[in-house]
Amino acid sequence: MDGPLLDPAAIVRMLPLFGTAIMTTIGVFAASTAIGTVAGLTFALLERMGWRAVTGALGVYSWFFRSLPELIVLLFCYLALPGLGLDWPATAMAILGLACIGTAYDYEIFRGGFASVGRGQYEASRALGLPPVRMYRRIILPQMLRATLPAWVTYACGALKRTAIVSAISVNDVMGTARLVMESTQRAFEPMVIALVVYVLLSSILMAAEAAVTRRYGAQLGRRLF
Amino acid sequence: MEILLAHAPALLSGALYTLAVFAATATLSLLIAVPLAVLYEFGPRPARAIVATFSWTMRAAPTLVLLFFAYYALPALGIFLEPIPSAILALTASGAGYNLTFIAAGLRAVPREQFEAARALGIPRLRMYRRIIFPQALRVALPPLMSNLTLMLKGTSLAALVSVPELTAEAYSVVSLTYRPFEVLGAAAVMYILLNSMLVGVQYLMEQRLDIPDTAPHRR
Repeated sequence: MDGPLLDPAAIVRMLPLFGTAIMTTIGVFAASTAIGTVAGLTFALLERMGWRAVTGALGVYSWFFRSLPELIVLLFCYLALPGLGLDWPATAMAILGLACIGTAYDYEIFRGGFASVGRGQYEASRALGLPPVRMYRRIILPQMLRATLPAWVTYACGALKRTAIVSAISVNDVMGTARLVMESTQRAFEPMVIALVVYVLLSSILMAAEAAVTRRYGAQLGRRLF
Repeated sequence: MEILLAHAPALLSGALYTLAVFAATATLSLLIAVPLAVLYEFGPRPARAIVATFSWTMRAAPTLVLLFFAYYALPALGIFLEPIPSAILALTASGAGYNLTFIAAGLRAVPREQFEAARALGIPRLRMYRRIIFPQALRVALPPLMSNLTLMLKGTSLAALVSVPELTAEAYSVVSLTYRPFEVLGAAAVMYILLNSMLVGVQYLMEQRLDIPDTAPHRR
């Protein structure tokens, strides 16, 4: 490696390569978070049905995916699922794996949120003769979502950083691109600094949102899970 | 099954490395976080700003980026680390960034009168922290600290990517020898779940000892 430690010319040459990488990171994050949130909410609603077998299965699912390292889940998607006939590209597998993990955490968040809405709210809606769908849509969900927002944002913060792991299954996100640039230029410091700065900026946006939401709605469930 | 038995020694040695890396990072990150939290809560203003910046950066950067930074970028600064020390350095820094915020929150929860009473009794500062302040702060800080330790245990799997022969790395190399990803990764998953359960057990025992209501995230 020649030249100064942080060569501005090298950084200028490398930066354009990170454009699509940043879009990939944001895309993987957005897709896995969207799927995880919808699936987690669906699971939490399913649990409200009160069927014991469903509750048990959801509990095992959640415990399983919250216990495993993300890397193991991603390697499983990438290496084992094609053998079972699911032949998706690496990026889709990465989104699938992260979404499965996100579902487990979001399910726990929303489960706690439903429990935090007072029994009286359910009883009063039933006494007023509200059909269950309208009761959830108009009475329960608005209260539940407000209570769970801080925890949800806290999880999203962590999820954004966890997307860096998808580079291990050959997705060219910010981390993956930093590795490629490092290998092709034989300069380690600049690409790593660029990656560090990009991630710190991206997650600072979410961390500021987290602080704002927590200040407004209180930590409530946030502390419990993370 | 025979495949798993044939490669069990590799997976078990991987699990031992995982346990060792976790033990080192958990201990070091807690040891570092305690004085930093005291500085952050009671230190002079510049020290607070430095600790806050450290914590923010460590929490904002993905652990994997810190790990690659330690392994690939530090040599440019003339610091050459073997895989295991660089993994321990990065995982410790990342964990400490979180641990210190939890310990600081615990310190904040101790009523000011406790400090004043200790001072009025003429108790030396170190003994005041050790006997009076920390035990009370720990009651508040323990649940989030233990949650973070379970995340750190899972995070040790990243060390595989800088060629530390821990459980994930061993599982990966057994997969590439046998082409049986389903069974091998399944076995690694079971081992991680066992390690995690041990940690949840420790959390339960400590909560009993400190008389804190059960908050283990894996309780069911």
